Amino acid sequence: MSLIQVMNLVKTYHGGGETVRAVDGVSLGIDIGEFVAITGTSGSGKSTLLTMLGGLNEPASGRISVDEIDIYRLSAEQRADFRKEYIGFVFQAFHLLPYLNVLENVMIPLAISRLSAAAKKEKAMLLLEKVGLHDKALRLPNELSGGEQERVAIARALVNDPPIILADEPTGNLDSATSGMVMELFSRLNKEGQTVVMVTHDEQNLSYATRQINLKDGRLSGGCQAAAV
Amino acid sequence: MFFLLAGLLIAVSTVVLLMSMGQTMNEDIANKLDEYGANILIVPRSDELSLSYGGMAVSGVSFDVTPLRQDDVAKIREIKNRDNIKIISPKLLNVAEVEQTKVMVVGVHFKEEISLKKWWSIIGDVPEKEDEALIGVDVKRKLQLGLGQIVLINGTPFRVSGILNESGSQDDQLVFIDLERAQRLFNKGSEISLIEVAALCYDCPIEDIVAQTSDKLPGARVTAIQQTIKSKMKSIHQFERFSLGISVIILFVAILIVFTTMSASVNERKKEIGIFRAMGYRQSHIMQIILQEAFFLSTLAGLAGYFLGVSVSGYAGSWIGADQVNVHIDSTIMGLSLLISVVIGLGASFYPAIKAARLDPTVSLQSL
Ligand SMILES: Nc1ncnc2c1ncn2[C@@H]1O[C@H](COP(=O)(O)OP(=O)(O)OP(=O)(O)O)[C@@H](O)[C@H]1O
Ligand SMILES: [Mg+2]
Repeated sequence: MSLIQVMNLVKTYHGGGETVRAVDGVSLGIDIGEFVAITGTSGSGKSTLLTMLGGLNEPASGRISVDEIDIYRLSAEQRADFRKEYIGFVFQAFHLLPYLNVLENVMIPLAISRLSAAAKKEKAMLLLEKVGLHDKALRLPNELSGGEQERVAIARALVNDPPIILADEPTGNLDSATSGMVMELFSRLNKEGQTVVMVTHDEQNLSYATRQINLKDGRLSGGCQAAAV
Repeated sequence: MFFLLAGLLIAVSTVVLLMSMGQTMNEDIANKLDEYGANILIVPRSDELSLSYGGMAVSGVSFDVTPLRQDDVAKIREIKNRDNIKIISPKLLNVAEVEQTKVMVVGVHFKEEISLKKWWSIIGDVPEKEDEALIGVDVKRKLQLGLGQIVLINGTPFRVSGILNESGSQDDQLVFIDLERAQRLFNKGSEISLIEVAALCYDCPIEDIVAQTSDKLPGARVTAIQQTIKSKMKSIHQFERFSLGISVIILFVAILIVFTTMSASVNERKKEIGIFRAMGYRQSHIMQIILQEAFFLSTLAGLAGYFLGVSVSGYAGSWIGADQVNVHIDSTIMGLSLLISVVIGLGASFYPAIKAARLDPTVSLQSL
């Protein structure tokens, strides 16, 4: 049984009088420890699929179960709890809060957990160490380079120990050298057992992935589709 | 956020200012109340209608009247609102022969009479001994009397210890002696012609005191004297009503300010809220964050607004001409302004908070 199972997933958007089928009947399975790269042209539905996997975006039809939980049959509040438990998001635009320092940014997901203040701090520092930024814990995000900011975002995604990391073009804003460093980090995490699903445009990144899924007009294309279901 | 803080602060301080100004005016008038003299008059009940002010014209004329007695004075002290009664001044009026002229002699308790008639100005001394008299300026002129002189009242000698300066009232034509002495002099026993009462009554209707006194003294006619104090109190009540109206408007404006500021803040922080939601924050967590912020800001604004209002009212009090401005920390008003501020802050933030909680995180984050 796969960690993530997607069955016949459809997402439609209505705008300007027409209906867009952003994701159009996707079925796939992702196992624990996989590093899946989602590729496809712009507008092919990659981000839409990723947010749906993370329980952020309700599908029009179809089903996603994670760890055998049918996540869109949960209530909105239960789904928030699911995200906290299972999902770490990494955004292309980093989405760090500019008025919080690095450590505080990493601690955001912990704010709603029951850990003691000291334990939260310890946990966040541990993650910062993992991404090699523990000596910059008290800096503000704008005092960091783009690659460093992305690593803070990765530490933040990992701080709750989620089994799944969902990343949407994490290297989209980075030059190729920095990009390589960030990909090395993902690869290392994956080798430690972390399941990673990453949307990427970058050919260079594909070599780190264990599997590639290509989307075209909201549908899977290429030979590997639905193989693991 | 600055506008929210400033808006609430100004609103709360204005309301506090208006409240404490009303309070100052009330306290001021309470302090000045006894300067206005008696506001209740008690005379024996009579079938005649001719009782004019003070009932002085009828003294000794009405025969079918049960006179008031000394112990009636004590009964007034037993009414429910007795704490509002400041001065009770019983009087005996009698026409007497003074140096071959008929003059109205009034027996009074000088201590009460003096405090009742703050406007009196006396040359010489207030009588202290029983055989001393205080005479009105008209009496002095007519009988050509001077300080220290001895006068015969119904044949009994009295020493003129003081002369009342022109007061423009009936008092100018009267001779005042001690009440008990007068009762003996005129063989009146413990009889009293009338009682003047000064009731301090800025927070209770004077009619209540009149009614309560009537109950205690069934044989007497108790009337409230219309006075300047009443119109002054009326203007204070008008001011209070006006303040209430202004306060309601100001608080309404404050609600709008909080609402728009909070809504704008939620709009600005859509992305932040989206991030929180993606990280597993529940809708209720988002509401909690917004409302906590509103609570913190409105508590701050409530406290600061209270102190600002109190300190401004210190100046405003002297500006409206109150003699005595008591700027004091009133914990009730402080609690009230905190409460108002927090209720407005939380109340007006509630809808923006719900809106924030229901934001669609994918839309907020757009480019994930
Ligand atoms: N909130 C939305 N409202 C309406 N249409 C949307 C919305 N989000 C996405 N779409 C549409 O759905 C389709 C898929 O969008 P999506 O963002 O998933 O593409 P993508 O593969 O991530 O593209 P890119 O590589 O440019 O990020 C597009 O046609 C897009 O215009
Ligand atoms: Mg995208």
